[in-house]
Amino acid sequence: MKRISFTILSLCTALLAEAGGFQVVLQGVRQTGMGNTGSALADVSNMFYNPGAVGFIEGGGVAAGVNGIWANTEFAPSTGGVIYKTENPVSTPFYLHAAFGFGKDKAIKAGLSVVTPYGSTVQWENDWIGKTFLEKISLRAIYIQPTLAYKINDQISVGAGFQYVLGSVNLQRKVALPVNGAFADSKLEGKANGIGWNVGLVYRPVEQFSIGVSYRSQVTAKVDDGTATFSNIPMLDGPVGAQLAANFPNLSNGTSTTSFTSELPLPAVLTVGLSWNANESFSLNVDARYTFWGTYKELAFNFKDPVAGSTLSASPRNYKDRIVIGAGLEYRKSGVSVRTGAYYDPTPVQEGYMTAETPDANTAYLAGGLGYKFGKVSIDASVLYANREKRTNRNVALDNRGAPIGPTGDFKTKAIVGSFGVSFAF
Amino acid sequence: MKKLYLLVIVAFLFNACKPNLDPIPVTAGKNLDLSKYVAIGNSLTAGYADGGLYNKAIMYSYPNFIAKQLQLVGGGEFYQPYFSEDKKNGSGFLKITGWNANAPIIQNETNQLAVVSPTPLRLERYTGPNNNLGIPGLRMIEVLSAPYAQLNPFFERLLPPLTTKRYVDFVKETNGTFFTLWLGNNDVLGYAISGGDPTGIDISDNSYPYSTIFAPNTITLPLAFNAAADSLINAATANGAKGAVALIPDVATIPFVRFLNQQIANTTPGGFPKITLTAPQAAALNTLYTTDFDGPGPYVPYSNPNFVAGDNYFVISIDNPYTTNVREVRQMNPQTDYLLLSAQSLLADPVNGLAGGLGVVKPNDGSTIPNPPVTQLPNPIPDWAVLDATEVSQIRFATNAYNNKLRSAADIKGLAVVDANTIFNQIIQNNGIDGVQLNSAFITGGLFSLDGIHLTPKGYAVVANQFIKAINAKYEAKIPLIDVNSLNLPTVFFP
Repeated sequence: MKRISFTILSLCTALLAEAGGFQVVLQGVRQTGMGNTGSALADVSNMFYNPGAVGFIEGGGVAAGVNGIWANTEFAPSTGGVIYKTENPVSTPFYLHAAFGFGKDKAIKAGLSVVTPYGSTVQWENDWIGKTFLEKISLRAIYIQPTLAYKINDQISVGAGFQYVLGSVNLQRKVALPVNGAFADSKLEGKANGIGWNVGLVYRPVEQFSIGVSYRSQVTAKVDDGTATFSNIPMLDGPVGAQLAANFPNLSNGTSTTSFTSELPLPAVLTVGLSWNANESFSLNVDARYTFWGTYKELAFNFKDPVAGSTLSASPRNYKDRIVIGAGLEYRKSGVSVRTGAYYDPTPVQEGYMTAETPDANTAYLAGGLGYKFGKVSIDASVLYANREKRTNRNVALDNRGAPIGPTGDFKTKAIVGSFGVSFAF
Repeated sequence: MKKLYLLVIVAFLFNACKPNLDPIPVTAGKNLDLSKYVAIGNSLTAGYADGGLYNKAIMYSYPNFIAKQLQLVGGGEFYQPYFSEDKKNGSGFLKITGWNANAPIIQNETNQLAVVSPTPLRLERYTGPNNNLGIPGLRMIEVLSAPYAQLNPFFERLLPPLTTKRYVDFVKETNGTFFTLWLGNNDVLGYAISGGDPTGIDISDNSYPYSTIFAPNTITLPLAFNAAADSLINAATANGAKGAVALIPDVATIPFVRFLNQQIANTTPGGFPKITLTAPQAAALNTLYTTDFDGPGPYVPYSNPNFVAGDNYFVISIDNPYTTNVREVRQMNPQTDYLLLSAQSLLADPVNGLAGGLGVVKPNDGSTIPNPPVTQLPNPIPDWAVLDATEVSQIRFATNAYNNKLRSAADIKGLAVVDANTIFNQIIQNNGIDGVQLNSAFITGGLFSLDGIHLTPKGYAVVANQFIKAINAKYEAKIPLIDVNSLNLPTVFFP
């Protein structure tokens, strides 16, 4: 298959869900248009998703693309009568993939993926009722993945990649102080990094049929030297002031700082994809992804100096492993492709564990896409619509300090992802 | 045509990513007309806190909290009688201005007051629309008195100059469609905070300390209370208004009554102080108390405090005005007799306080008994400094009677009842209510303001929620509750 689709490769599943934001798997504009299926297709955009698939591309290719994610969440507190909304900026994750063929029949591919799976920000409206849980969280990440793939024969191709992840997190919320009804500002900032790997295999018993199996390891994103800043702390006199000050390390002029470490497990994913090219103009894909969410037990920050009497701030997450299943179609005629697909993403978040940064619920996705190929160049566009079930957060779990981890009430999220990609085969 | 398609698509996409979540349903139900809510009551209703009425406190009144929630279900504007901005500190109020070691220095705010005349006290008049009819100091029996309007500066400021008007008429004229009523606390409170030491009461009235007259610091006779309560509730419901009536909490829940015993016990090694005596010492003291030093002269001896060998407690005055030939005293029981907050400075005084022998003996300075024959004289803690067990039971008797009346009157009119007595007891027992943590400790507890009687903003919000819960239950409404924790409402303000 000559086509090298420039796609939007996305790590959103892993990163957004844990670290907060809108969780959308965006592997490539073509795949997105087919409801995030097609991991068994010979496509350079599958480098992250199934490196084995890269072995089947002819020659080499380069792909680049960008997504625009418009995601909005609303919250209806259980007390009733009002709605609070996010004011998220549009996030624009982009990617660049390149693969080059070597050796006999160019059966060996060496490639590199550079992906910013999200530049996502969740920003709640000013002074919303859950401001002590979250006001704003910004995540930046870049995945750099050198990849090798090898087409053993016309039936089997294998591949593997090494992943180096660089990122940053900025988490802002209010802290309700026990005196004078005051709120202090809390900001946790840090740079994170982690490593991981992926392996994949695509088996093509007949020309029309491919089956892909891939495994992406867990990446533990580590923040080794984050900065925690607490500001707008009232400077009070007497024993009350002393008691308040004792909660905040290195307090001076209303601002307290300390450093922290943290770890965020980005879970492993096992993917099985089936692709059936019925004829020159029609293909059908079915993909299933098993995400080992169970590894995400808690979000913990270890402070260098005690904050509010403890160096540990640990908020339970207790995610459950989940499987996503989707199906997609592509119809091609004289260089034009029309695509559609859908998938269903059951939430890994158990009842009582919804948080303001990941008010997750079961989500249905509907996708449509168009492609146009002229010579060695392909242009693809897609739209993905996500509708997350309204879900009630109740019996909210408590953190290690006995405070609930999220607000009580209903959450509802919808999102639109528009994607545009260009690819070039050589 | 193409443009139109594009527009439709763009519009669809734009709309498609709006979650359009519905708020959790709230409603006033079919039974309530909330277009004009009026709040009837005393200082608690006015928002009085920290020993004063001032703009910030008025803003945090429980009726204002309730009104904001009512507005989420169609309630009308709620006006309150604020002082003008340059007189925002109203009557003045207590505030912590600093610390003396670990003890707060509590002083009166004296700037930007609305006092226009000190004697008789007159405050800046309020002439705008008013839904908060809370009058600090108002007793239930006083709602039927027209002259009272000129006696109470907080009432006087809400009326045109020199108006005499009964509070019941004031309420009726307001013509609300919905009301809350919390009144009757002061019908026992004056007696409580005076240590059961009424002034101006005719002791030949054998109903002592219950009174049908407006004498200060008496307990309103339940029969008089009942008549006034009927009039007031009739006035409030004259036009068919629905509402909620709150009962009176037990006065022994307020820090003004409870705090000192606890503080003294907590700061004394071994708990509440005991006076350890030998048998001869005990006998000598009992003799000292009971001796009539001048026979038929002006000196009146005390009853026997019954000191014994071993541990004894301070002697308190439990004087009964009927007995003139003896001043009654006994040892206090720190579980049931309460040293009042008003006595804090006396008790702590190094010469005249507990350290100087108050509660046992004082040096004979010769002013009443020539010096000699004795070098020491009895020195019981004065009546006004202690609310003793008998007085507490008198107050509880009246409180129960008032509450029975308020409940039955509310039931007859089909009104919601807020059992503030049970609620306050629950808060104290459980250190909070409905997930909101607070307790009745003075200064640190979060429920009571610096006067030890009135509430903090957080406390008033908790009260507002209890009203809303009662209203919702009675009238099949779903008026939203206040999220007290998320709002992190203030308690006592610290400098």
